Amino acid sequence: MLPQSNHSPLILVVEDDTVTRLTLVKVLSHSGYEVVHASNGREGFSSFIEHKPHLILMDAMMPEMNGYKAIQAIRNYEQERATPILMLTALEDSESIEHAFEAGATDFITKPINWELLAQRVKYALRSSQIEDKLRSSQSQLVFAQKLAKLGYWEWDAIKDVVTGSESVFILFGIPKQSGVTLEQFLSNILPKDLPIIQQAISEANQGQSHIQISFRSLQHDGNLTHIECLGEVSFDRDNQVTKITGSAQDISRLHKAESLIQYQTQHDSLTELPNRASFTETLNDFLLNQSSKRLSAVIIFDIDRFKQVNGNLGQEQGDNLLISLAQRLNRITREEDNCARLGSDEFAVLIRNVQDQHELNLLLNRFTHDLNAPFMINNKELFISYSMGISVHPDDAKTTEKLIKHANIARSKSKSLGGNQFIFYRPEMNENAQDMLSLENDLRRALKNNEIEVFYQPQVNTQTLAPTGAEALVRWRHPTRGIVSPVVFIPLAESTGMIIEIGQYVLETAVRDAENWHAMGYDHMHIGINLSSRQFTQSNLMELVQNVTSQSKLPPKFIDLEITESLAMSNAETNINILNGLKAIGVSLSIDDFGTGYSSLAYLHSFPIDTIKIDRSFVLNLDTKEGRAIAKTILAMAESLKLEVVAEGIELEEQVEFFKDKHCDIFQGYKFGKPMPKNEFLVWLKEYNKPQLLN
Amino acid sequence: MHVDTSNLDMLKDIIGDELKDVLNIYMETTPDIILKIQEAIATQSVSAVQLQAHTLKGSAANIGANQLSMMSAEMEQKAKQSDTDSLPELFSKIETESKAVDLALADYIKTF
Repeated sequence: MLPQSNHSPLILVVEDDTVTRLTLVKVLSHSGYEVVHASNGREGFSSFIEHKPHLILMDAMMPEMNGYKAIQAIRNYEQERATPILMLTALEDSESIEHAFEAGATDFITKPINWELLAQRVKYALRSSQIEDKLRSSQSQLVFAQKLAKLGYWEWDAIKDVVTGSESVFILFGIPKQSGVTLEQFLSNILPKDLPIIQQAISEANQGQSHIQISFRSLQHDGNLTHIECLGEVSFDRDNQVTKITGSAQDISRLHKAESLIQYQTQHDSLTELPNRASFTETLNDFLLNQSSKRLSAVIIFDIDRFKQVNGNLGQEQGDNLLISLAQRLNRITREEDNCARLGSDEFAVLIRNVQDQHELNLLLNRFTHDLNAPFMINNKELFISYSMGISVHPDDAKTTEKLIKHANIARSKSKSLGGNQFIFYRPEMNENAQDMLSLENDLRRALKNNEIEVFYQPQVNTQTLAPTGAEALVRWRHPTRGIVSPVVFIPLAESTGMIIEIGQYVLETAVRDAENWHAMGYDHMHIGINLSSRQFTQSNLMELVQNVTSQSKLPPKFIDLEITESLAMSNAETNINILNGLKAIGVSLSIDDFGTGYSSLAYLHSFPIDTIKIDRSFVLNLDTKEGRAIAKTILAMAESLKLEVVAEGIELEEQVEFFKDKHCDIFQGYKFGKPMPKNEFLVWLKEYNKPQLLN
Repeated sequence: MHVDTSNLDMLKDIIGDELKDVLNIYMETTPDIILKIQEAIATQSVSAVQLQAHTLKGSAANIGANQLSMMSAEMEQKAKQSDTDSLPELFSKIETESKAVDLALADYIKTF
């Protein structure tokens, strides 16, 4: 029997035959397990997502979705854990046993089931999966520890002259990880001055030295030097020839920097350990010297509002603690490539390197001030402080260190004189823009709660009959004072703040509920297209979310059409195939949006379980040129050979309709048939639009 | 012997009186499966015969009705080979055996 515990292992039984299922459930519950059950593969997969069982007993032959397909769906869905799956197969059927293992089953149990042995088999499978879990977690701990220590391992096969090693060691040496790297290639980024150190070590190894401990520098692509320490063990054959050297490599750059204590102290503030004013100036100098790119950089200088008063209230010691906490927070909330420094008592500076444009700078600043404004815990109490912040931008405001700092200081004084608790750009026209984005971001935080986020629907029609086939759900923000805000403006904001997750979920739920209503009203062939943003698509609980929405709706999942853009689909194709397969197993349809604008690999496109491609509107627009028509025809021919449904977006003109009508194109979407409209208007459109069509 | 009671005894050792529920479900669902087989044979739908015979094979074996399970296995096989000629005769054997199994199970339940 199992040890007494509050959490008996949960077992999922998937079996279509009622008698066998019932017997399995009873035998397992009498053996002390919690049991849930399902009568076909699809139900089984849903139940797996919902209950996260510790073990699954899966019948092979079932209606709806057979056991093999269900196992594949489960294996695609799982990210780390491999839930043990025991497949129930007929004894005589060695082919199906092989098939089971191929699909990803852990083991098999033959039918008729030996009831006395069943509990033992289950217990054994659970135990080995626990051991595997432990192993997996200790492995990932090891990887994590190595990462923390910036430690990697490597091995040089001296006979074949091949270097292998961990991901991190290749990064450290600045070499792309691939097979068949020779020692010379592996060392190609090592500072030429330091190469003799390595050659010396190898020649000592050839003379019988079995330990290696050397350090040298490698030149990174960004021009920085990395200090590497290598430890190695040498292996010899019987003739005392070196066969291989195995060892570790560690990034000791930081250690190296700290090595010269005096130098360190002259450059760092002793209280917060942040670089001091001299060091910041030097960093900025170096940066500007090597700065050739056209991108923007910025210097932020800020101090704490009413610091004397805050410090007086807290006392010297807690005041120091506040500054230390603030310094640590600065390091945490800035990007790795940026630099922070403490210039004076409560005065700090940040260098933000190389952003794309003012828009990105604004997003970054919003993030930065938001994180900076979070309360501190001092004496077990929340302490809120505010800052006066000035920003100067390179190259627009100034091109020298001195002027950048001076201009940031002027802006900071301006901010202080305006009452503090804000950031001010040196150039006034930049403030307007930044303030605008900041207030928009704040408004967006409240938009969902205030029901300002709306879902609009743009009709889709059949290319032959022109009858409605569905709609694409499009998100709109009805701002109380600005009116409708374009998704082009607020989606990047929502992405950068993470609010996209909530908004995406709201759109998914609303659109599915509305489509469910259309079906109830008799429009029971209507599809609903819903866009997934990149953040949503890669969020780990996406499948759970979709599963919940589909299981709570009467709308059959095949009418739900999830759209991802081509560039997103191809960005990480290997992983995406698994996510797409998982979604497919839930039963929803999948589309590639904006098709033709990104770079598609045909091989991936072929292996993606997608149903539809949506040709980007830019191709429809270009139909008036010969080249444009040729491209469109090519895309259509390819879709036809891959047996994919095609939606043409952005249809506005009769000529465009004529072009697509006699080719492999199934669905039209565009202003010609209807613009994106609110739910009620869309219903009116559905009713009115149908009439003339039915008369034809 | 239509039902291998030693198999049932083993099951009873594990799940006790709840075995009665299992047997009752068997007796409730089996006539339906047999009816479906009959219909499938009449309409020459071999894939339906195959699926239903497969189910009967499993549930019969489950409660120790080994003869019936073997006959169902044979039918599953014949259906798979689209050997429709031998199906009616095999079906009548299954029907007779199934009735015998039901009687044996009724006797067995009395021993509870």
